[in-house]
Amino acid sequence: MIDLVRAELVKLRTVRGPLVALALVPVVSVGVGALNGLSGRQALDSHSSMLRPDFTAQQAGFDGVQYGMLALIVFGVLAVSGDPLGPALLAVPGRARFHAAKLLAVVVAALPVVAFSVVVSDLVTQVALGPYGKSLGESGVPRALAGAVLFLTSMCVLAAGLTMMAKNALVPLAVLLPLVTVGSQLLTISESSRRVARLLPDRAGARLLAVRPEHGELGLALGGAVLALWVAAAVAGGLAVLRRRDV
Amino acid sequence: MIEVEGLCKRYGAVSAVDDLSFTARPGVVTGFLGPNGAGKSTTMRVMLGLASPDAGRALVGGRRYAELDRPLCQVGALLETAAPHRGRSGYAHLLWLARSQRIGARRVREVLELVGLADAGRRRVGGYSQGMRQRLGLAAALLGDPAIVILDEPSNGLDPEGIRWLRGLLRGLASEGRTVLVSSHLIGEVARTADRLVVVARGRLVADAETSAFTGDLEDEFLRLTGGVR
Repeated sequence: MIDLVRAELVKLRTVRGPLVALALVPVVSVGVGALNGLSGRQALDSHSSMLRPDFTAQQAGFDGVQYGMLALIVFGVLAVSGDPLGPALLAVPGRARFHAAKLLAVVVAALPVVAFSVVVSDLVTQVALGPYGKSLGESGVPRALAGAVLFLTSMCVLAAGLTMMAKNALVPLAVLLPLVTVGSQLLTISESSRRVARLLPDRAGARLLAVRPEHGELGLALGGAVLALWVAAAVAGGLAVLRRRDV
Repeated sequence: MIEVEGLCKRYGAVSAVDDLSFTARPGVVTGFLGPNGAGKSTTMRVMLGLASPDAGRALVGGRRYAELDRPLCQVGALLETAAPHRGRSGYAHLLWLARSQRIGARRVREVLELVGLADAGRRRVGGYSQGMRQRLGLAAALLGDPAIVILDEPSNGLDPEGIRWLRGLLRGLASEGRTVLVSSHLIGEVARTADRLVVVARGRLVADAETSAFTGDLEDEFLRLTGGVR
């Protein structure tokens, strides 16, 4: 299996699409993190009412990576959609083995990039906040940092699994990108839709990077479990489609 | 050895392969002939585990392709549906294939040299001519030094010099004791290379004999067998 993962890693680094998408993850995360810190500092300096009432420096450090997550989702989609199945299945005819190797390679490639982005984005936000910045060692922050790495990597695997299910790049991108940017936020307008929205993968997963529990949201463990269910369903669905597919 | 036994494959109401049986033996070049749409590519895709049969089976080296460990070291294939990613270099395409089979990078350079792509290896496949793509496909097929070689229309896109080179390559592979199955819709070309001809039309076997057994005008014979008009 290690040989197969290594082969998948060669594939990931020898075409432009996934490589560019993955490189954008730290760029966007750290860039947005810096801007977020600067604007937060200005708002605090001027006692602006524009600042959200629940603002904390600790939580603000996680805003950047949630934008970087968009690039990470694109990476997960392209890692699957940009790999022609013909040669892949000639080399690895066992479809479950191929699927597992592909997803493992996606995780191996994404994990260090995500870990770097999460930590540096938080750090840069705190620095940009200046006197209002807090240490990364503050209570709840290290756990949220680890949770953020888990959340982002899971969303990447979810994207890869969905792409295998959809057999193209368009559908998973058209579903996931709007969902994580506006979709589940819009659903919070009414109380009943809010309850449903809590179970969507991005809302449930976002519990993992919450420094403090929020009222009306799922708890940490439940949020993580709901996210894990989504990922498992996408991976299993992708395999089911792959198994039945003629190339 | 390649054994096809009672193979059937349908796509909806259309029967692409219909109760097809034949054998390709080691040490000879077996030509797999038929008009476009006769079911040649479908048969090869089933042999290689890319498509599943509705009935019957196809065995390579006595086993189903999906059961092979490091399959490229046992069976090499050139197929249109297995074309490489156009954005990757020829070298990178062969490199990931090699990694997946525990083959060293040296072998990658060897096969690039063998097919005459040593200089073009670092360029992206999208910029290759059709002939170069065909050569890269052959390099991929030969990468694992396989005992069985399955090639779908390998002469497509090759210039006259390339076709002559391919003929020598195929003869050489067979003389080393390998099983070589080559499909084509061009009777003249295959007849010059193959020791044995398997002819299919509309998914069914219409002839299976030594090339020398086809007497008279091969083209007339082919068209008669496959139901074409003279």
